[in-house]
Amino acid sequence: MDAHDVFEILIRDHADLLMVFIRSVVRNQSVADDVFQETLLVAWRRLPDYDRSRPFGPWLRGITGNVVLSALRQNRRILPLCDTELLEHLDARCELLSRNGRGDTLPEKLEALRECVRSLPEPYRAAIETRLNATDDTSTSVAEQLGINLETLKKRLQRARVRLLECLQRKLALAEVTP
Amino acid sequence: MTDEQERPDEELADRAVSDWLDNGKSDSMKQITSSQKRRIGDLLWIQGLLETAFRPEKMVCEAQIQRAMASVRHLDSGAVSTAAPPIEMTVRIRSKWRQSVAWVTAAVLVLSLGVWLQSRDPQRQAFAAIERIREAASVPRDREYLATLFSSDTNETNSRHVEAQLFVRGGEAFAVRAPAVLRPGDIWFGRDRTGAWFKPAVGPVLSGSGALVMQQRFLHGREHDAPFLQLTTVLERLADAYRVTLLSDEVPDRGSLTPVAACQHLRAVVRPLNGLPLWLPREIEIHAERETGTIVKMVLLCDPVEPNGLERIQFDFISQSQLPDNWYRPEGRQRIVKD
Repeated sequence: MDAHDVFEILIRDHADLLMVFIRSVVRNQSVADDVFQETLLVAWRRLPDYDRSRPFGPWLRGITGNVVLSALRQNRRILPLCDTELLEHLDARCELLSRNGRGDTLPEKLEALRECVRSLPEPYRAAIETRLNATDDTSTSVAEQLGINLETLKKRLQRARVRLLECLQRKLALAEVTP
Repeated sequence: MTDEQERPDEELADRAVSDWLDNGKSDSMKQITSSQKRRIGDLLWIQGLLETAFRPEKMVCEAQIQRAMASVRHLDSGAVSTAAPPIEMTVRIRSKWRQSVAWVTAAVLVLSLGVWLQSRDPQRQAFAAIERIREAASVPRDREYLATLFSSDTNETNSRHVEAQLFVRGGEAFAVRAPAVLRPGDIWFGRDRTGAWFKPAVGPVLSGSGALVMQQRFLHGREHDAPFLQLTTVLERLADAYRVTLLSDEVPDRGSLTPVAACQHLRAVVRPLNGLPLWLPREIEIHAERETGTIVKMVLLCDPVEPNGLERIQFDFISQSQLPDNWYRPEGRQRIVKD
C-alpha cells in the first residue's frame, strides 16, 4: 500500500462529511463538486504539512474553507456571508457529527435527522420534502406543487429548518450523555 | 420557544437563510451580528445534512473520488506541464462550463455547418444567404472566435461574463480554451472525428473515443436537455426549429475588436418549442460577410434555466489561419501553446 492508497482511504472515510460541509455554503451542485475536487488536490500537495497527531477531518475541512473562500471571490453561488468565522462554526458542527455518541456513524446521525423530519407538523414536513425532491433550483414550482404561495412556502421552510435544528441538537446532546 | 416567540435577532438570521436557500438572494445578510452568523451557520448546516439525508445522489460518488485520485496521481507523475496520455473515464466538466459546453457545441453546429439555419422558411433571399454561410462554414479552414458568455445576475446591475477562445475547422473539429474556475490556468475541451476530450487546468487529459464523452455526461446528468443525442437527430430537430429573416445589411458592433465592413444580417427566432429541446436559444442573430459568407458575429439569446444562468453567448470572428492537425486533439494541447 503506497501513500496514494492511504490518502484514498482517508478521503473515502471523510468524503461524505466533507460534502456536508461544502453543501452548507455552496448551493450549486457543480460548484460543490469542483470545491470537493480542488480540496483533494490541495490536501494531497499539503499532506507533508499534516500533523498526524491531530484528526484528519478538521484539517481537510480547513483546506476546504480556503478553497471555498477563493471560489467565493469568483462565484456568487457560494454564500456571500461566508468567512473564516462562519466556516469555523460549520467545522465545529461537523466535528460534533463525527464524535461518537448514540450513533457513531454519519448514516446513523442522518437517520436521526430523518426522524426529526418525520416528526414535523405535516405542512412543514411536506414543504421540506417537496423542496428537497424538486429538480430545479427555485421554490416557485414547489409552491405550485403544494398549492400555496411562495411567501407561505418560504415561511414554512424557514420554520421547519429551525425545528429540525432544535430536534437534531436535542438528539445529539442526548447522544453525548448516553453511555 | 414557539415560532411566534422567536427572538428578533434569530428571526432575522432565519429569514436571511431562507432568502438565500429558497430565493437565491443575499441582501438580508448584510450587517448581521456574530451570533446571527452562528445561527445562519447552524441552519445552513441543517440544510447540508438534509440534502445528504434525502438527496444521496448529490453526495460524493465513486466517480468523483476516482477522478480526484487520478488527478492526484497525475500531479505526482510530474506531468502537469507536459503532454499526458489520455485516460478513459467519465468527464466531469467544471461548473461554469457544464452548461456552456452545451451552448458552445450547439454554436459550433452553426459556425461549422449552419445546419440549424437550414430553414424551411419560404423567403428565398434568406435561404440564399444561409446557403452561402453554410458553404463557407463547411470549408475545412481553421477559424478562431472569441466566445463571450454572459450570465444573468439578479444581484448586480451588470451581468457577469466569461471569455473563451473557440477554434473550429469546418464541420470536422473544434477546440475551446477557457479559464479555469478555481485555480489559475485554462481548461481545454474539444473534439474531432476520433472523439471528444477534456483537459482540466491540473490533471490528466480525459478522453473517450466514439461517443462524445462530455456530451454523454450532460445527457446522463439530465441537467439540461442538451443536443447530444445522435448528431443526425439533433440536426433534424434544428432544421425545423427556427424562423429566419434576412434584415438590412449593417456594420456589426464589435466593441474593441477590429471593425469590419457592412455584413449580411440574419435573425432566427425559435419556433414554438413543442417537442424541441429546451436548450435552444430563443433567438440567434448572425452577421456574415457578404462576399465570403464567413460568420463575423453571432449572438445567441437564451432563457436562463437557473439563477445566474447563461443568458447570452456572443461569438466574434478573430482570424482565419492554418493550425496544426493536432490542435484539435488532446495530445497536441501541451506542446502547442498559443498566447
